[in-house]
Amino acid sequence: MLTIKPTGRLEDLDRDQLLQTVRRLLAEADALSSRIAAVSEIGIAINRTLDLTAIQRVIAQQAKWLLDFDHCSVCLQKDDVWQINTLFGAQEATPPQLLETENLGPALTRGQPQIVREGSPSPFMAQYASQIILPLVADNIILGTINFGLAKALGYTQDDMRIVYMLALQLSSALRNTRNFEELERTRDALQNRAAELEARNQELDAYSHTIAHDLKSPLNNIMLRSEILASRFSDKLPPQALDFVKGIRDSGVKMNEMIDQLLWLAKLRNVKDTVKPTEIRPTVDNAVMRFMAVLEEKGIKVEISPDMPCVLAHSQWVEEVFANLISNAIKYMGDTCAAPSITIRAVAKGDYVRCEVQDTGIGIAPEDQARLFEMFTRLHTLNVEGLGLGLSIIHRIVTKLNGQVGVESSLGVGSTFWFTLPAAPIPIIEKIGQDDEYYSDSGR
Amino acid sequence: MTSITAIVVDDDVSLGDIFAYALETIGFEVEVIKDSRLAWEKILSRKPDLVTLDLEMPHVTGADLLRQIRADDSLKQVKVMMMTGNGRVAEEMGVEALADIILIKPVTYRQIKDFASRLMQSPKTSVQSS
Repeated sequence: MLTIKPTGRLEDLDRDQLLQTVRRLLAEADALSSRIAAVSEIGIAINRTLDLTAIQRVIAQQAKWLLDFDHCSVCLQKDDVWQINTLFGAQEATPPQLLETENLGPALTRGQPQIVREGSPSPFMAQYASQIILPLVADNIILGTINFGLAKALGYTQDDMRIVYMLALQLSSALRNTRNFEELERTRDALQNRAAELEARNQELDAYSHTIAHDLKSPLNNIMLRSEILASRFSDKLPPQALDFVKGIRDSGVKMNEMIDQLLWLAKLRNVKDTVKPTEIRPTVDNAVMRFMAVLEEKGIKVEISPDMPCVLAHSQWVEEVFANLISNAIKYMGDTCAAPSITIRAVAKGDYVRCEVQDTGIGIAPEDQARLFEMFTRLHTLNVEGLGLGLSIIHRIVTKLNGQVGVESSLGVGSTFWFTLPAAPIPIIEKIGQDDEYYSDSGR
Repeated sequence: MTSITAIVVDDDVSLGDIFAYALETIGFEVEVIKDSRLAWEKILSRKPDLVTLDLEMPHVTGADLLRQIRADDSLKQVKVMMMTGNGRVAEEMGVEALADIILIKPVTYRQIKDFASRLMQSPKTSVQSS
């Protein structure tokens, strides 16, 4: 960028003239070096912040190290109109001025740099005879311009424009970062609003489910109580088929009550904010198994529980509910082809979490059904078994709330292993419950 | 033998009727009240041996009536059986300690018979069921 303009050939110069030329060139190089260093410093400063006002303040304060000017401004788009923010000059303290469409100029419309040495000045800097107007471009989008003006004519050189061009590159980068950050903030706000909206809708849905489930209990109680009284007090007056019908009504009532209880559980879970505490898994498993003793015996299903079970951070009632739902499912989906139906329950510490498993020798689940297994209201319709879609979604919701994960491994005709993880409790709180070291059968206890 | 009396307060009149029937089969003389606003005066004037209350009713809740009963010296002998669809609500409404028994719906015929009989046989026994 240095321009050597000797009066003649260097060979023709005497010693003093050569020295003079060298000194001049060194001074020019020094000045240019200082300006480049200043651009670099400004670039670092403006790329360190994402605040547009701060960026403009840095330019206003430090651009004087780059070139002389009587006016310095940036033209930026806001709300679909161009406006000029004067950083230094006659209108420094005035609010941003709108730029009329006809006065946009080639820098804004085509992204072309403009240097005006004298005459035909840009309308928005009419009083300055010398002007440099450089486009600010990022990602092929014209973000605006940076403008310098001097009152005197022939005030700017190509070197000045090159320096301002370097500044424009830095400023474009800073503006792009600012725009990207603003866009990110807008997206984040939109997502947060959406999440809050969804949470509110979920809570409404839960409240609605709770009300409906609760209100269903009275008519259900009426149906069940009347059918029970019919069966017990009028059994001698009813033909056997009628008594069968009454039993069917009652059995349906029992199932419906289970579903209502599950709905109530689901509705309740979202809002519970209890803190977790170290919880022994074994008692929760025992309690869950106890709920199904009658049906386990009736179906001849053997239950094996591993003797060593670690502690987890949870609520015992929730963990019991998870095991109860998994055992209930294992029973429902056991099928009748297995000669020795069994359910095996394990809990193994793995680092900072505990993996619990309920394995059955049932009919298994097809791979395509496994993915949607934990969605609310999913039920394996294709299978010829009774089942409730809410059980697995309760499990999913409980385990997720306790910072765990849930999943299934299954093969058709072989059986399924439902697993879930829970955070391990830091220290075991109680000695393990005295049981035989070997697996033992809970069936028939 | 003097008949034992019960008042069933339930806004679901059909359910109230069948509760009443269940109690009648074990010897109670029962009156059913659907509108809980009318229940207090009836309880106060009849002083029944047993009152069954639905916990969540419009206007006056079962919890309100239970507190009124417990606050009245003339009703000290009255046993109260609270029916609710949700045990947690009973806990929240603070009625656990005041009721002689809380039954979670669906309440069975056997539960009504068993607990009503026990309440009448053991005047000071408080029983709980879930």
